[in-house]
Amino acid sequence: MKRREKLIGIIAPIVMFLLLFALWEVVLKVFDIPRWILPGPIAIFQSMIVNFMDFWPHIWMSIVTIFSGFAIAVPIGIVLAALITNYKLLNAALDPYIIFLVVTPLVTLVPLLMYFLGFGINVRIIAVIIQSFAIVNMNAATGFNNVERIRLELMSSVRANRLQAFSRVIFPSSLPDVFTGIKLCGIFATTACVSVEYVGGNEGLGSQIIRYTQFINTEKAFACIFFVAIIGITLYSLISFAEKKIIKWSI
Amino acid sequence: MQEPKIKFNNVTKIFKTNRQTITAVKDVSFNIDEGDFVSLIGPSGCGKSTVIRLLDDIIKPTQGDIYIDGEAIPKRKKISPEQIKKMGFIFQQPNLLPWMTVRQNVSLPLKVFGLKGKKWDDNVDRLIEMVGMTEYENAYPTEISGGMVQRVGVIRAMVHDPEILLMDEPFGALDEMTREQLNIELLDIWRKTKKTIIFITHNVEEAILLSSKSYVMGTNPGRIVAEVDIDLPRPRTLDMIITKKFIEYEEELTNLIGEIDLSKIK
Repeated sequence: MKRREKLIGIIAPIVMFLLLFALWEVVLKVFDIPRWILPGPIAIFQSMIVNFMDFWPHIWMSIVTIFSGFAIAVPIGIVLAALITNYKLLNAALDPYIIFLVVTPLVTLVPLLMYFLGFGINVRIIAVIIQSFAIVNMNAATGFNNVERIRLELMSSVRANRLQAFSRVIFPSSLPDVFTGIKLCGIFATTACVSVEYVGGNEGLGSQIIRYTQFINTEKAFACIFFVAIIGITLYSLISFAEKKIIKWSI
Repeated sequence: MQEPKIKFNNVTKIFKTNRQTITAVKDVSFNIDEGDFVSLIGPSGCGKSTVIRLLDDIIKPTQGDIYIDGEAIPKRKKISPEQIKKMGFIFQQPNLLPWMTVRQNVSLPLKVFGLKGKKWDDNVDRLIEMVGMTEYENAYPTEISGGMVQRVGVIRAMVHDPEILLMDEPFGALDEMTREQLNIELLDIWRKTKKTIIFITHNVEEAILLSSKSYVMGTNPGRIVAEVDIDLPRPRTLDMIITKKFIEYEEELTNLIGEIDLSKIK
């Protein structure tokens, strides 16, 4: 029974995927939509493979930006959450700014960041960090604050100090929330990276999407969008996999 | 005269929230001698859980003093390591940590107290064996039954060899049969180890079966309203429940608790 469910979980999305793309092709044929407005998925896949070497440097650049920004944002978010949930003053001082960072669309800051720091990959990584650490921070802080009281009492009953209580009870208890934050961070990092690449420079998939669209080369633009999607899905799947391995107890 | 093991001297605890002030317990005073098995019984909201949380320094009293072996628990500072190690707290829910195995859960207090070495490892083995869980020591809490989980909760509180056990309605969530069995096991542990036990319950039968003395608590504010010595022979067994004396105690305690409920309605 369980194996069957697993099998369905793998097959159903693939069937759906094929159906969607088949529908897409059919619609293009029936309404006779020209290729330069909307190419079909087959043409896009062809372009992804045939022109792969043209895309590759930009794919790699985006991967490096997303993954390094993500890898820095996650620990910053978690450590900051640990600090603000332990020290009320720090929380009061920082809380409004973290909300500010979450709700402000990053694209509004990017031109200024580039004005200050130039167009290199460092700016893009910084932008990714700024956009994505706050969401980890918010979710982790929620987790740290919502640990069952009875578990904290258990730690009081053995006179645990703050560090012991945090490492033995608070952190593991809040791992489900922390992972929600990390997943969102992965999504935010991908979005942020492409947004920054849109705004400036000529490196990364975002810049290529803009370029090919301007040249009405929609096939290649779509190819880049698909690569972005693949990177995003891969990152998300990696996080989900890690979550399943680490949080075995919460089924 | 021998020093009482535990002494409460006019202890009051007031909880203040933004909306209201609640007096959880008011002017609670009692002495408990070493090796006694005492029960606190009363309706919900009478502050019985608050009493043992005050003793275990989970919360601080608003007024009054609490002594263990004649030594006061500090009013502002944390309780001393020596004092806290004298006590083991058993929670209403088993409160095991689901990411740890049975053995890791039992060992948790040792880790936090920094108690290492063969003596303590052996103690873990001995306790796990005592409750018949040796086979399951590497199982996770979700993999074992409710009764087993609660046994683990009990021995976790005993692993650092405390002199006092504080039990907060420990078997309240279990079915009747498992509960009776665990009560008998608890009496056995008490007889062998001579620990001082404060046992909280709202079950009259359980209070009489287990304890030598029962404090009846009332609500609004939480306070001790009566003290009843349970003069039944030891060792206690389940068939005592139908004896005349047992039933008399049951009536007495039920009436005392009933009066509290009546006064609340009035």
